[in-house]
Amino acid sequence: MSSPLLEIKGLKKYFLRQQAFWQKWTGKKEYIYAVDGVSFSVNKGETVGLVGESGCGKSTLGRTILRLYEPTAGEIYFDGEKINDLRGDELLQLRRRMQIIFQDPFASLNPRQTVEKIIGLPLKIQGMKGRELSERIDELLEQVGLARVHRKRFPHQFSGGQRQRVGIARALAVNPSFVVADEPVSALDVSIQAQIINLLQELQEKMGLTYLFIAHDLSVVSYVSDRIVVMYLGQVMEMGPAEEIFSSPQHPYTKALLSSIPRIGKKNPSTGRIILEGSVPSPLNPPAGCKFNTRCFIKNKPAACFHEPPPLIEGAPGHYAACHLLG
Amino acid sequence: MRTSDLPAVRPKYFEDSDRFHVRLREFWHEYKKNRMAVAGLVIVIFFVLIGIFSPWLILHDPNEQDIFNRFQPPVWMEGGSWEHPLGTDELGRDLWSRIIYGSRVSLALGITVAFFATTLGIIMGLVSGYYGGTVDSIIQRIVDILLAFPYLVFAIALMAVLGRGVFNLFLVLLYKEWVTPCRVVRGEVLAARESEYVEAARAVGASDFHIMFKEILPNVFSSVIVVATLRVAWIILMEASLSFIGVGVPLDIPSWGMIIADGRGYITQYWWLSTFPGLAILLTVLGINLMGQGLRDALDPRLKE
Amino acid sequence: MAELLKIKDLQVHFFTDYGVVKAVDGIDLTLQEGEALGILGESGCGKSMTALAVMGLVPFPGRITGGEIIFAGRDLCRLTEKEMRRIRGKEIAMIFQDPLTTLNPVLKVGEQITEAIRLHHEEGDLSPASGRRGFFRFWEDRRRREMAAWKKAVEMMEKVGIPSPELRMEEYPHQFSGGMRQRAMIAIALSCNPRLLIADELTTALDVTIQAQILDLMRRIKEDFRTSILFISHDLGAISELCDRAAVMYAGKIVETGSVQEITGAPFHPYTQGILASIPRLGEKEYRIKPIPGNVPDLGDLPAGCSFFPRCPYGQAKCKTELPPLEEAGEGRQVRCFYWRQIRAQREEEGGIGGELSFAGD
Repeated sequence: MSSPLLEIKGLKKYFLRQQAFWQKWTGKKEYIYAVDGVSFSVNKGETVGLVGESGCGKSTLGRTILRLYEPTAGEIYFDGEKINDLRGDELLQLRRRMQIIFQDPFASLNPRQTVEKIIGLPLKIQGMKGRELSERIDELLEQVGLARVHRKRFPHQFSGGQRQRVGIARALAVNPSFVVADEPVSALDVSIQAQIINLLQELQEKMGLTYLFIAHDLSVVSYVSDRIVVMYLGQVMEMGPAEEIFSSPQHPYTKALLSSIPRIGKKNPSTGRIILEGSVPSPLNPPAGCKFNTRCFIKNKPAACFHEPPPLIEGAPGHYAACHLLG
Repeated sequence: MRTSDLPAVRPKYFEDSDRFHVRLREFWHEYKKNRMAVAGLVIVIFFVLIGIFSPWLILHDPNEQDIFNRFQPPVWMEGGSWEHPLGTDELGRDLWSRIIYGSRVSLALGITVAFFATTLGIIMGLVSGYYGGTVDSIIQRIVDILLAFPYLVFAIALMAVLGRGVFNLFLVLLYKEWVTPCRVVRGEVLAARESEYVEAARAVGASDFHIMFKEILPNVFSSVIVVATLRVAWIILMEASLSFIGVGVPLDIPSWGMIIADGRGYITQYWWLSTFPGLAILLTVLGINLMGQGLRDALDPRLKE
Repeated sequence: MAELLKIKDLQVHFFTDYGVVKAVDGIDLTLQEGEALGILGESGCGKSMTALAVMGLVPFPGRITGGEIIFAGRDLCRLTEKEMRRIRGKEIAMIFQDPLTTLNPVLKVGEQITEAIRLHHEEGDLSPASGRRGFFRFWEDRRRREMAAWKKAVEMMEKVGIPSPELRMEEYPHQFSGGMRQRAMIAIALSCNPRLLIADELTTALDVTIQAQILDLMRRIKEDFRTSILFISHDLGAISELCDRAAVMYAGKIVETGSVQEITGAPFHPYTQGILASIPRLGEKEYRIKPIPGNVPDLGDLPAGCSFFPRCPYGQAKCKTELPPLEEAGEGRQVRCFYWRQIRAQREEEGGIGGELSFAGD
């Protein structure tokens, strides 16, 4: 196994909840526990899938790793270097090596800027100009399957898939080695999703990229990822090699998640399905103990589930799960 | 009703729409749908032209007194003459020339104050909305105080201290006029700040300055334009009010408000003295407001996807 | 089974400044009583517009320009707005993707369900008149009706699986989670026992575990209430879970219909094949997805012949100029492709989906 390109240890990100002005004096503070102690690593050249339901903190985690949010606690190591406290120029250098692809190709492109400007921005910031800049933009457009004629166009003149290609070109402009793909295909139509997935994989091969692939669609994640991290309410429930997660899920949440996926062309799809009750609790006030205990379908849970957060236990090599029942 | 599923079509000639004239044509296409807005635009252009060409349009020096021809009625009334198409006032000054010249002060002051106030408001609003926290609190409390104070009273007091004068009037109007654009910009910035394109710019390492002025500002600009336009009308009214009270422009510069004030003592006998400048104010303000509303409809992003 | 809804050659056109957009361009559909029909299509293919046309709610500047929508023997296109209002909600109900925009944020959920019930029930339906005479009769009857409607609302909420419905009735939509809101909306839609339930992208915004709950609920509704369902989605998975039959739409036209098993197991139309080939299969890493090249065409500027031609791997010269008809391809099965027979033959030989086809001659 190669050395980890990215390693995070006990990463936490709490948001202070917007408060009414009188609460400033009473001193009572409410936090949203978006990411609550997450540790994992990403090796060079691999794709790690990060799955979970909305509100589980997966997008926050991705942005905290990129230092778009300031981490509350924990450490982030990139290429062996701690990047928690980088500032100014050093942070700019980091931006060259880590990039992000956003979910919504409508929202992530400035509607008032041409494609040329959007893709050119990271290059200009890194000090490129003139012909070199112009040529690089052409090269990038070609790499993501767009043409020169698209340079002068505005985002609204593109279809969703093309817009996402522009987003990818912007992320790859500075030749990063690590890319956080935050739900890059979930806003796209099925036939276009496949185009973008293939493009991302092609680029990975060509440029030796490492992906942290955030998605809620398990079939997409299973397709692109080497390893998978399952998150729930800001914590890792299970992580391990993709095949193992799908063939032998350990954690009850993973099991339920997998069994919820609609199957195409299967007769009597509902037989043997685990349907979780209720919905994800608010991250403002997460349950004590195991965070999944309010929705866990297992009967006669041990008392520990309600008091102690379960540790991540390595059941098989490289396959971890956090459940008291597995201990 | 969801509109996302509605088909979006654009004609072929909008393809290269980073070209300015194409965007202008697209804008005009939207704008001309509103007849009243076009009428407003015509009125505004009319008055601006009058203001620019006033030296060639006047018949007399606006301050020239002709004591023998006092209170001459307009041309279509008995005793009127083409010498003074709208009649003369109590000092025999030509009303036509005074109103034509008055458009200069009103429009020039309206447009310059609106321009500088909007610029200031944009900067304050951007800083306030983008940085948030303490900076935001301070700026917004200043705004609150300015809004809470009875402005006309304050302006009268200030002008009384500073004395009549165009520049003083400019300062006094500017003093409060930046507040509205500031509020508008701040509101839009708060929304834009959370958008993914801003986050994307931050992820590639763009500076705060770049994000504020290059990413966010173009997106809030259309609503600022609308506000600024409507403010021009308001400023014209404010200027007229202050001049009417007698704390506005100096006496030797005719302004619409002052002409009304001059005529108010004789309004029962010589109605034209206050009516015509009043009509000029009415038409200008109406024209600007119609135009502003047309701009709002044409620039509103909700109507354009 | 009787036919409940029959759409014949429906056309919905949008008259924009820049020309006519044929959002729905001559579609034919039939929905049997108690059946769930899925309409599969990508964004902008006209599937939502079809649903809105059935509801008589085509937004401006769109208009139904041709065709018939026959619902229980009546042509909905010919009804007046007043008659349509009586059908809407009571006989045909629609539920949307985003319940936050359809539920009124300032009214309690209970009030909204109760109102829906009272709006569409005849006076005597809910509670028989007291038969009393006297001055207070009117108020007493009214109170009884209100009580009955409230009770019915609680019952509906229970049926759609909202826990402790009496308490939840008193809450506002923002206090509900996404899945619960969706359930409340379904409760409103079902409160009048509609014969047809139209679900527009019902599960799209939901998480996978919540989606499973809602699909399970819809399946129970279909079985318990015997309601016919028109399920509009871009998610083939959701459609194949819930529906009996499916129609695939592309650029305002239906390109293939058939049972869900047929559509997902042995699609004849190249577009349907393409969709199936673009979906990753869970746990089958060796299976490589194959995207459909190109983009969805601009509805204002469609190609002359088959609208899928520019993206079609099997396209021939004929497809470019001629529009293929919707041909019968078996029991309850229709395909809009000149070459579906060849495609079927090739499929049977290869036993796989979406292989490259080569034509000998033609």
